[in-house]
Amino acid sequence: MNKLLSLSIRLVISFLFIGMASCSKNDDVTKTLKFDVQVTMPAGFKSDASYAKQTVNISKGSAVVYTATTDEKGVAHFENVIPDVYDISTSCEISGDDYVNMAESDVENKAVLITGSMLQQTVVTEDPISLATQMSLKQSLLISKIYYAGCKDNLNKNYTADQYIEFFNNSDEDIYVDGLYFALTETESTAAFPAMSHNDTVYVKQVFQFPGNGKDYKVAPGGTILVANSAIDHTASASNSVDLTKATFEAKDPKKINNPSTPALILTYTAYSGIPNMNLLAGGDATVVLFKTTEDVSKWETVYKPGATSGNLYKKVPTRTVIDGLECLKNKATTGPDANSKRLYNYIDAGYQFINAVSGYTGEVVTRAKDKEANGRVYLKDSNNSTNDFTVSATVKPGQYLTK
Amino acid sequence: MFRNSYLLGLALLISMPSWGQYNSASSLDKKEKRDLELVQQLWMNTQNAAGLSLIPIENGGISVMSVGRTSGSFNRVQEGNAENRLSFSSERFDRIGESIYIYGKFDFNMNRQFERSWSDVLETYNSDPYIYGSSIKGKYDYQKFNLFAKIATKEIKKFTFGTQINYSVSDLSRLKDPRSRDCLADYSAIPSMTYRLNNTQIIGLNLKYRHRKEKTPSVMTVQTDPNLKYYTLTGMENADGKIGGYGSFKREFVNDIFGLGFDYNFKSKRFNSLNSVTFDTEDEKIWGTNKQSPGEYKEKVYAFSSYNTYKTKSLLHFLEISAKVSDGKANEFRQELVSVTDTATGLISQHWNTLFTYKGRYNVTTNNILAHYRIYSLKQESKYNSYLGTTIQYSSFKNKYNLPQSSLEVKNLCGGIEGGMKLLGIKSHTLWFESQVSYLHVLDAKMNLGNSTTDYAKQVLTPDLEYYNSSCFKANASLQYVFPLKFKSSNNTGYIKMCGENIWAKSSKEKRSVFLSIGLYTD
Repeated sequence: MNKLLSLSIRLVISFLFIGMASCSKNDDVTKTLKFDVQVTMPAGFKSDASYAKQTVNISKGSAVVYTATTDEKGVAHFENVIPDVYDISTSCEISGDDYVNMAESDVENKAVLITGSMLQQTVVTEDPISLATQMSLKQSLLISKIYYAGCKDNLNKNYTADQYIEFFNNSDEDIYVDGLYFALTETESTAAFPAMSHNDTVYVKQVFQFPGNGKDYKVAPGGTILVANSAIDHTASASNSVDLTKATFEAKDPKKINNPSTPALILTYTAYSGIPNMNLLAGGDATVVLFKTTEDVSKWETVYKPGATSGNLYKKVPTRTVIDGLECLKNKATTGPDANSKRLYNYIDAGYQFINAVSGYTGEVVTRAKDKEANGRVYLKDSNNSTNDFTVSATVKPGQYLTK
Repeated sequence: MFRNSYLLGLALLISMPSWGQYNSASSLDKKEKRDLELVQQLWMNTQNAAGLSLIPIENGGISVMSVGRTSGSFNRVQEGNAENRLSFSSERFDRIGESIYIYGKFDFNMNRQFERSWSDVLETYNSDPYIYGSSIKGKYDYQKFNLFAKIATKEIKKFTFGTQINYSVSDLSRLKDPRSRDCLADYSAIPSMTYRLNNTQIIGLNLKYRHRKEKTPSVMTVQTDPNLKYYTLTGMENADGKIGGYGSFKREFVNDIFGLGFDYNFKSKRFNSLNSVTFDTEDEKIWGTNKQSPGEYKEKVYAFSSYNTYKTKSLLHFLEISAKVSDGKANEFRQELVSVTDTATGLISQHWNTLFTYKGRYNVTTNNILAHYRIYSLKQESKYNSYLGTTIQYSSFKNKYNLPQSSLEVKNLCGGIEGGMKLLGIKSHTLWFESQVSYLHVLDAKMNLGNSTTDYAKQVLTPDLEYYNSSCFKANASLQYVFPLKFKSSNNTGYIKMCGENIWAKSSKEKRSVFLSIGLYTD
């Protein structure tokens, strides 16, 4: 019996010491990372052209959390990076002269943008990351603002009649918007046509065309075009809203309040027979593309979402016609925006934006940020990456731009 | 609130018939007798139910109803600044035949907290970091039903066998937008046994299984403030607030706890010593919408306790020494929602895929060492006139978030004295006075934040640090009037007890509590 007692006591003491010892064991924890990002130049450049002395950003949501500058070989070195799921992006503008020197073959002397983006990359090892880039011509007319959130009216009811989209002439020359198109992409709750599997086409639910015969609607350098669903003074109904009586165009809906003195946009296509004005969802998604074509848009193919044989028909817009695009995703309550549901391929918009509200009605505006002020006017950021170029504000007004 | 008052009244009525069921020749010393029996029944302090029959307690029970209020400025943000409390409990020791010993207890608590924020869950501190809440202060209603039982056999060939079971359900409701309702079901079973080594020594063994499930099925609003944020926390200052984030929010915590305990009891004529060690390991899973999971939490708890009594003709000494260490670790997940569309039917199926796990993203350690000594001045075998006691306690905790590193560490030393005495004893009526004073000295309270600008850092952690940094003096006193209560032909004992407590903190903040209880001892 004494043996049994002795054994019991020994067991108890051993148990205590083993327990206490294991308390201090803390080796099995995740550590920070050190890795390189190799940025490769797009096709069409000489083999010795490298992406040198440019900034590479690692972002989380809309915040840039790490930056590094590429060396002569186009490699950006990152240290002390906390493992996570990040967006990795870079962009630079190359002047027309430099482009001519760096290009493999004869090219037009025009400024170009080089952009690269990898969205929602799981960065958990120290393996080098290769970031491919694309080239695009620097555009003059940009989508500069989209207000889809709506707000609360004076009776605290949801108010979305004040939604609008703004365009901006970022060049130093006059632009005529006559005949240009813009479109809203499909907004199925689960992306029906995500960009990752449809990179040559944008599937849209509505297409609008600017009226005019070629020289009717001029936008001066630094000037804006505002298109509204209802070009009235909304502050009368919703004191937090805006006065849109000076909107350039209106997407008319005979069932809603319109401003007769505001020129109408031409509704070229809508997937919803009962919705002739801009169908902007207050919580997102709200993705817009601006495009230019001489083709007959009405003849472009329309399709149902995959697997469906009825329902909404979405028009296929070829990406070759797209001038600019802005990806605005829904900010989901659980996970935030889902980059996998992006509808625009990276060479149209390498990033994405979202408002803070899950359901909208907060007066938040997604607005392009100021790049610089010169010659008495504002220039806006344009790196083909809305994560870097845009910001969200609940106070910015039409025609006004903020510094990010 | 009122609906539950009816329930409480019903529970009180159900317990009333027991008043008339037992006869007692001497019911006047029930309080003293029960107090002394409980002090000497050392196994009641452990989770080993099999020990219940080793030191039998006379059949009888006590039912108590209590109301009280605590208020003041010395609080943590997630506790609120005031609380109204209503509770009812009824417990009883009994024996079935000659072989089975039973202890049963029913508890009901109904509390209302005021000005609470940032936590819509039942366990806020030193636990799973994946909690949630609103930054807007509001009222919370809390209710808890608890059923607890121990059952033990008499000694059979040197062995006793027993089981402890516990079942409780709780409900925490926020009464201001965004309105959450958090429900808990918590049950455990602890089978146990003891073995008599010889006339003086007994050893015990118990195994524990506990299942705890806490669930917030949805969060609602009745107003339409578009800027209302809802926060989900991941440890220390890291809290993600989304405007309208309460929409479609749901979460549940499913926790399985396994435990093991050893006991060693030495008992001589005067001296009785029961020493226990326990080990618990818990594994908590956290689920959201569509089985999304922010992480998991694992904890190990090591505890040692030693309960000792030494009895002479006129004195009963009681000494408790205990130590408890817990070590918790949260692994954080990064997940993506994978949607798969069936191209033939268009049907979409979704699941969450874990991309990456942060091992040890958040750690919680707690340490607690307590020594408590009390001496009773005995009048007879089952009566006492007064007691005196002293307590010294060291406690500490550390919450640590890794990458980027943040930590909060607090160490306290608390010492106090206590005493109780019978002021009056006229015929069948007695008046007891009890008091305790203690001083909590903060040895260390330090916080290091990776980002001190977050809403949670500014509104919770920083104000709470002032609380942790405040040494405080606590004093409480109670008066208990015990009187005979005749019900039909039985003689019972009732009491009314008033209690007041005040805490004076170094930071010039204070907290006060008052309670009123009525109780009934039954045979």
